[in-house]
Amino acid sequence: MKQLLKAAKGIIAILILALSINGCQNSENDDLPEVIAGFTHTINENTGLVTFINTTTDASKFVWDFGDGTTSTEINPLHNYASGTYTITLRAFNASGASDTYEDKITILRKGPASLPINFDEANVSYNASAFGGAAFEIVQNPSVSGTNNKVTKVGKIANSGAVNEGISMKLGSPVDLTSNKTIKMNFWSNSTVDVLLKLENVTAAAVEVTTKHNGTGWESISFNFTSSAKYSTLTVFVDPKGTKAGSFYIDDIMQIQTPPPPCMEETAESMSAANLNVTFKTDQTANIIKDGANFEWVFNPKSDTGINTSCKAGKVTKTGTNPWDNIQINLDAKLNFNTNSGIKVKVFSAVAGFKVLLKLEDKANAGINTELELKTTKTNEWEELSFPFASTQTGKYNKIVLIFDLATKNTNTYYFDDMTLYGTGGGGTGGACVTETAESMSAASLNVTFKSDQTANIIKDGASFEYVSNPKSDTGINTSCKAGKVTNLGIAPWDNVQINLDAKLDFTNRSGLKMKVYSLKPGTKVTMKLELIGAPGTNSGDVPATRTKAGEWEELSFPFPATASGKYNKIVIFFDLENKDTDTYFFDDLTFYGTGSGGGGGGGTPATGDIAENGGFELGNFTGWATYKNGGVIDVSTDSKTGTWSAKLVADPNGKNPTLKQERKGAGGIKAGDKVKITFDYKGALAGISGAYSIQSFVEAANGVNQTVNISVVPTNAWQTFTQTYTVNAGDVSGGITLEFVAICGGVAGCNSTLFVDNVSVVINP
Amino acid sequence: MEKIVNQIKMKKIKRNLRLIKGLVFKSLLLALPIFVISSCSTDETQKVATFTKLVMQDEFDKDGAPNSTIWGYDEGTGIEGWGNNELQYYTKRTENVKVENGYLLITAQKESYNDYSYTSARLTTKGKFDQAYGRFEARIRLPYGQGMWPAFWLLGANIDEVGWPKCGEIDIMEYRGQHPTKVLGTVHGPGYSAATSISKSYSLLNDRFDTGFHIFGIEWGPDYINYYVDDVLYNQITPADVTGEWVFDHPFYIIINLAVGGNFVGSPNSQTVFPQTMLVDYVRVYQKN
Repeated sequence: MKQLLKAAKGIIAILILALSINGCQNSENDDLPEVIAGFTHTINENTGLVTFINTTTDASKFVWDFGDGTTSTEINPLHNYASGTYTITLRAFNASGASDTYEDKITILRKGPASLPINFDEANVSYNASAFGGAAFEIVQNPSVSGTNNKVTKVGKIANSGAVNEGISMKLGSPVDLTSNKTIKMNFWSNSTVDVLLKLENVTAAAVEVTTKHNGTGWESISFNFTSSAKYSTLTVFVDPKGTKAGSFYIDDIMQIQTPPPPCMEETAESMSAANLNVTFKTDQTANIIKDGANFEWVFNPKSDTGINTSCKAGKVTKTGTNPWDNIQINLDAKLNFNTNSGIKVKVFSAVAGFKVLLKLEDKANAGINTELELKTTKTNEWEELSFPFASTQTGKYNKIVLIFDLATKNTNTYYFDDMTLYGTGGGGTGGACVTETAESMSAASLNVTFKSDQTANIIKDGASFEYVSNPKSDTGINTSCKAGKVTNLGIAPWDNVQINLDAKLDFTNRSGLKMKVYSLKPGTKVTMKLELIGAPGTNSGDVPATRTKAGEWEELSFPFPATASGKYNKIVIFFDLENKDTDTYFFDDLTFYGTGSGGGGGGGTPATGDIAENGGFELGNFTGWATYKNGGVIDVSTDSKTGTWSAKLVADPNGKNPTLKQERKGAGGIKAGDKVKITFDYKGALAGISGAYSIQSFVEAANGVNQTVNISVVPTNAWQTFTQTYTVNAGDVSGGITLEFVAICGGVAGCNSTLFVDNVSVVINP
Repeated sequence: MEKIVNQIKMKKIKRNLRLIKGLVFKSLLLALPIFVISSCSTDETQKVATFTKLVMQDEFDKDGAPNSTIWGYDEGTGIEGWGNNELQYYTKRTENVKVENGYLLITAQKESYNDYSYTSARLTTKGKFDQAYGRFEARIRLPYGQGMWPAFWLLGANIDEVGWPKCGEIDIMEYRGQHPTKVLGTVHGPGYSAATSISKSYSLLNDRFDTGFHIFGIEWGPDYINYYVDDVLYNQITPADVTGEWVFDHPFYIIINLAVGGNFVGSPNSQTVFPQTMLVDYVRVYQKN
């Protein structure tokens, strides 16, 4: 209303003036024209600069009041405003002093530069994206209120001209900081499938870019996951970066978010119990993880999109660099059972190349009771499953798992693990606990056929099939290695056989012959070895047979060859049950030289001297060097020792058990008739029931079978005693060496128990 | 809004009062303004035109974006700078086009936008208003400075069917910012387009086009186009004047734009002041009575 009144006053004033000058008969040129004030303006919303455009007519002097306490007498002034609403008054005068006033109210909303999140809707933000390469950019109303952007708001329109490398670029008011949140998410509209490239740049760091596919269904939420941790002040978008797709695309709601985990499979099971250990990290187990120099976090699987571990969660272990052995530990509710399980497997992941994983099992109550295995990984930034086999002898001893990454180095690296679980069916079943082969040689000079690797291609099948298989009985006995060779006679001829061609001729100088371990369920057959010259089967060693004495157990058979056989033969022929045409199955392993010479001739090799017992004090904490035959009982290392840390403990309970522990065929090929053998051991024990008994014997072994038996009689009590006896080796085939056997027996009558502890076993030749 | 309306009214009233001044005292009649307006049968400064049946007008009385029932926009850069290697990117943003205090403001800005260094606006009535023959007139205050190229012009509405220049082009006003006293009136058609177009300039004496408003118009009949500035008729073009087919017997639509740079005017230089604004007081179209 004020303006109207003002106008009305103007009319009245003019009329009064007109009347007062008493007519206007004079030429109009004599009158100064009426002053009519006016102005308009343009506003720069980024700077707050207002450009006033004076539209006053017939005036010569101007007085501006900018409404913020400042004034000007310019015709077309420029004025900087802060955000706010101002009333601007222009008073215009003519030469005679007549004046007119014009008034306008303007609102300044200074726009700041855009920073994430960007929604194109903030009135005080300048969304000045600059397009390049032919593209055009403008702010428009959402043309398709649907999909992930069903809001009636403003969006950015990117119009591609169809040129390569066209796009839009925005300088951000505050840079994108990717330190923690590494994903840029946006709504993007396209009606056809197209790649969208988001590039982040600044002046100090290398530019980073990520391309994401848009599925062309209109508005979609698309994300760009970066790995950089730098800050970037320029955000650039290329639509169809490698192509020349023309058309209109829309962008909205550009924001920075925490990088979402990639698609993953939710864990369905989890157990922290020793009986059915299954550490899947379905739940946060941080409280159950003991941090010993290494930190633990329950995290999203760092690589759940591909590979062998697509579960959502994993355990993250970061070494603190305190010690090389920075580790984490898991206490269990009971002791682990490797009778029914073959070992522990675990999936591991790290960016560290070729890292090692050591899995150590401990007794919570006594860290001295432990065993450990270390494996090296072969993959980087990929999940890999490692299997740690534990023999059934390790049953019932450990209720703590210690996991050490890269034990040898003090570092601050990060490692992940998941799905730590028991595997296999343990002792008695196939795929039982086994010891991975460490050596292998198919060469004549250092022959050692351990089947560490698949030798199928090197085995000639002559009426028999050959397979590279898991050791059918790796939990007990003399062969606990993981792999063996399986031979099945095809029943074509009695002489069905397998052959191994060698790279050179065998040398038996200072060797007694070849030995190998054999297993079959069929009892009592013979195994025959023959050496030949390749291509000239008539040139051969003749048949060297050895009789099997065991069924369902590994036994070692020796095939003596004289030194005179050297330099003649480069093929080994093995017949299983040469005497019969059959289709039986046999396993063999560890085919190697034995002895120090004069095999087959009957003695005379390099003499064995000193203590030929191996690991006689059990101080390796295991039964290395010993053959163990549990036969239903228990054979275990014990800390109830005479000296040192460990002893061996045999328990037969209840009736029908006879666990047997042997130093088997020691010094084979090095024993000769007349040698003195001094047996020494410490022992204690207890018997109960009529059938409780012990059997301790030493044998002088022939190439096949026993040549001499020495019975040892002891009466164990609760106190340690020492036994010593020396005997003389009789004449005969003594090439199989010396065996010392301890058996705890609970015989046919129920209600018995036999417990025997043994320590410090020695077998000294010619003391 | 009330205030804006009031301002418009005040402006119009004052303008009318200026007319009254001379009339009132000759008749000694304290006439009501409404009567005075009705008695004013022609535009206050226009004496050379005779068509008076007003059929379209935009007085730019409402602040904000221009009336969308009359005006549309050519946006972007066209092909090769609208055929003239022009340097601006046309938008319809407030920064480039708005109605404020009774005027249409077309503003050329120097800013980085879509890979271009200048922005401005180009308004057109294509598809909204066109007419064959008549009086097309606008009251405009022009910008100034090297590289400013404002224009008020007409294009044949059949351009999409027959193409340019067969559709015909009538440039009512073209102007170079570096020559603030001179405007040009031109027609283009088949055989007489671009460099061979039929053109004539008009210059002010002791005045400039960038310091005040001037009326630019044509009065166009079946066999003539009369060009005038304010009350001066300065050119007449007839079929005899054109070196080809006379293509001015079908409807034409209106374009008002402010170009920056281009073949006609040359690029801005360091002396060119930005922003530059072209003020349009009104656009009116008449038919023969």
